[in-house]
Amino acid sequence: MENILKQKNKYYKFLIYLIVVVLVNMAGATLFFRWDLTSNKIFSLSVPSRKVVATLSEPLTVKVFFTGKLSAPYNNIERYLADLLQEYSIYGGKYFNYQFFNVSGEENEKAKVNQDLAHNYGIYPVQIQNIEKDEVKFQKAYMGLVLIHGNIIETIPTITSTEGLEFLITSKIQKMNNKISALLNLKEKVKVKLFLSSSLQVVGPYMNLTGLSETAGKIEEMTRKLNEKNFDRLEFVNYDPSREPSQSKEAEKNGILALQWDEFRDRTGKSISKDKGYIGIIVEHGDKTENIKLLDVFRLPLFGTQYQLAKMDEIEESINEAVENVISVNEEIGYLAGHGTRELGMMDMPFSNQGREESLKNFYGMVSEEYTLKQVNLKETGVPEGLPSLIIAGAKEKFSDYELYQIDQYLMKGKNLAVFVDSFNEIVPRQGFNGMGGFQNPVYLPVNTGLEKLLEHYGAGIKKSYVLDENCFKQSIPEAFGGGEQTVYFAPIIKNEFINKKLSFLKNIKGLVMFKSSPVELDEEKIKKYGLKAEKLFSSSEKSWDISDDINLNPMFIQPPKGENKYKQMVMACILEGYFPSYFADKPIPEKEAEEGGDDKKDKKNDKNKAKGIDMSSIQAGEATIKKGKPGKIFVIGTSEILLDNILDKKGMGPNAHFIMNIIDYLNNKEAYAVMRSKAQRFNPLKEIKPDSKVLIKGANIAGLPVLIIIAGLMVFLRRRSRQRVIQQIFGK
Amino acid sequence: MKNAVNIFKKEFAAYFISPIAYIVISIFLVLTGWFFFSTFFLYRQAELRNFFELLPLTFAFIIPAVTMRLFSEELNIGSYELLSTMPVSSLDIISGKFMASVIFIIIMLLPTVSYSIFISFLGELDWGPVVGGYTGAVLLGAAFSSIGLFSSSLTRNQIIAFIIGMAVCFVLTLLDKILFFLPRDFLSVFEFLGADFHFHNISRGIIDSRDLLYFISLCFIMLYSTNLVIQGKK
Repeated sequence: MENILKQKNKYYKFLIYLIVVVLVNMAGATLFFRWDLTSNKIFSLSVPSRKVVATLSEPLTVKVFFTGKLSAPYNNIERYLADLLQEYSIYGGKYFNYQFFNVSGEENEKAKVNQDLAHNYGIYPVQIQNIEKDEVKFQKAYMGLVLIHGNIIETIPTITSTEGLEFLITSKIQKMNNKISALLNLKEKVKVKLFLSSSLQVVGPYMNLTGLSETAGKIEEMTRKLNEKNFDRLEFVNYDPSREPSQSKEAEKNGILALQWDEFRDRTGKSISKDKGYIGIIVEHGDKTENIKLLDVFRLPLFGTQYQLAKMDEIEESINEAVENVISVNEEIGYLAGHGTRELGMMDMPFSNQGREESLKNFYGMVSEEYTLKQVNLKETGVPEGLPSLIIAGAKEKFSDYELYQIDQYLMKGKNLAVFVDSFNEIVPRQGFNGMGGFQNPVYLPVNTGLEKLLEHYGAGIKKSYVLDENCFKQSIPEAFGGGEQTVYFAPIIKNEFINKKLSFLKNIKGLVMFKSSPVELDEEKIKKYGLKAEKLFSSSEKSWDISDDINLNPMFIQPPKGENKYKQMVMACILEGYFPSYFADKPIPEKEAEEGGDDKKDKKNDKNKAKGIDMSSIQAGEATIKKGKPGKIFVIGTSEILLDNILDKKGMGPNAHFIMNIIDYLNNKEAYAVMRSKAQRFNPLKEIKPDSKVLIKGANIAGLPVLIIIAGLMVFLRRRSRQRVIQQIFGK
Repeated sequence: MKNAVNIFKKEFAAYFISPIAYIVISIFLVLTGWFFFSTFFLYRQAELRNFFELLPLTFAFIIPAVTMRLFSEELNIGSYELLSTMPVSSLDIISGKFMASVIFIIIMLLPTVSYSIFISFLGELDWGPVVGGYTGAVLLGAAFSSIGLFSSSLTRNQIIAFIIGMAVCFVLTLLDKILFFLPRDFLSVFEFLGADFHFHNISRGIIDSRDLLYFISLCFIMLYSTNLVIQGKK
């Protein structure tokens, strides 16, 4: 009996221990610590994230709408998100709150309420694949969150990956902080001007446009709603250019879409008179304006020109973005327009693939997340002083000395330049075939814009050649064309070991792809003389060479040079930092080119002065040229092709995209952001090794190690046997 | 404790005196080496993630083979009766045997450090996840050893002990991979029970107290259960 009791007690004791273990684990699920062993602390909150939440002056609430119990791999996102938000709350203290809302279940009343709440914030379920009861099913799941700071709301509607999530959340919080400060400091209201000619309502039905008459009301209501989120700083203005001619002029000045039609008769015989109409929205604050398209015009085969009113939710989003741009929520940086530079692709043209390969849409989208790209026209405005940096991408046309002077003086003011230099202008023949029945190859004409002499003066020249590399991108050829691989020598792959790891923002970039790139030549003497700091960012491989004459980039006709001495490593990008000496230090200020039609006026003015007998030559300008200014930075790379959509990925998660953004951040003194962005960068390629070495490594590890163990076992076995023999001999006697 | 150390020495020596250790370690190295290096140069990434991802499944087969004889053999040949007459507690016996199997697993893992050394020459290896991976591997090995020890205490037959141990380890390994087959209401519970789920976190280079707590809890429950079984056999 006593034994049975003892046995029972043992099991009770076990049960109690089991309950304690379960409770300890349950408590541990909420009270836990994490120790991140990764070198770049991938799984810990970065310094910028900590700073952003630590400087919150008003409560920030994060509402997470995530369907629970999702199948793998989505179930991990929720956990990662919970861990991440917990980390934010540690550093955000009382101002950072987060809440997970139960949105699971169709019949659950509470979940339904939460689902409606999610819809109000613009979070809708997405379809994901789920395996349930041996069947692949598609499930609708909520996977979004909303950040609420004051009256401002930022939404991340879909989170399907943990990659870059911290950067995304931190950028949103930063943006909200900036927006609140910008809105509260506004002296005048932001005007949302709707240009909608009443004349369009007459022709609207013939263009299949319905609801034009309600558009003004809808936009006004939308502005009212947006006003609630923007501290009542928006003002709606409705313009009808058909009634007020001055408004037509304003519409034209702002580039509002204008439609005009000749007199026509409809099917019923009703005559519609010749007229013109404007449709579009302008968001305006001070001298800054943003144009929002209200009407899409596109051509369809067979159907001809089609008109479509933009969707109201898209317009709301566009107005919100435009407001952010005009009040400069994001830091503004300059992008040089004209001079044959690459055009920023901002709009998606429906039903058209034209020019997609030349588009900078991905680049624009990526940069716009963090900065406002302000187009700079040297001829019209010069470089505005407020811009901390200026991007010059692929200039092809000559700069006048005065324009170069403006760039030089901009740099002297302690500003920064990112110069993507194209050494050649690729001219593709119009006719596909030449007289011989073959394709005509493009012609590569050297580009001389004048920027080269400026860069050379600062110590970074660009050689007029293309870098070719045996370590390059290999394109697979479809089976229909014979299969196999095509070596694209002019698309060098930059190896990890040739990327400068001394720079923190390059530390996590493990490889890059270049395209039609020219070598950068650093003038060590000048750099030393001027006391500049020069950093070579990356180089081509030891198996690279360059071509400058008779360029033919058809991969079929490129052969690597014979002889090891023909190969050389080349620097492909660099950053110069320091007190640059002006190119125009010992030169007179270049003459500004006279504007068209402006010469007469100037002459007349001069004549007037002459008439009055004023001698202008007696007035002398002081030291207008800054000979050596504040410390600045110049980034130089021998290609602008890497900014194109076919090189940069849309999500901006690839190594090339991270590299570009990191450079821009570095130039704008946001190095910590650059480090945070690429901390999730997992691309970590191996060095190039010979096939023999691969076999050796495989052999040593797969077979070598077990063989060593077996030898060790045999030695132990033999030793034991000899010991046994000795014992046998001793006791056998 | 002294008794536990003595038992540990005896058990540990027993592994390496017989060919078992060398055979098991060799099989383990061939398996992991083959699976890891057959795709390593295709992925071209300087990391050991694929090696660690494979480890729970390999351990689910190897560790029960290592631990199957610890009690079953003694129960079968009757040496356990002899051991129980000695002035040693069942706690000493269990902890001695447990330590022996854990140290054996550490020794089994040691040659694989060569993978990381080779890879560090081939690329920029981040040693953090490697250290995390090996820490996780030892914890996982300890947890599976405790399961193996428990299954060995249940039966005199080593094969049955192996099958039971392997089945339990296998289920714990695959639990988080088959979550979509399991009832939704208990999904988070099943996920938490999965050994691979916790090992995966550590092998990425994050030491999380929740994962440590899981492995320690699993070891404790299994060793305590072994103690109950052993005491029941007395």
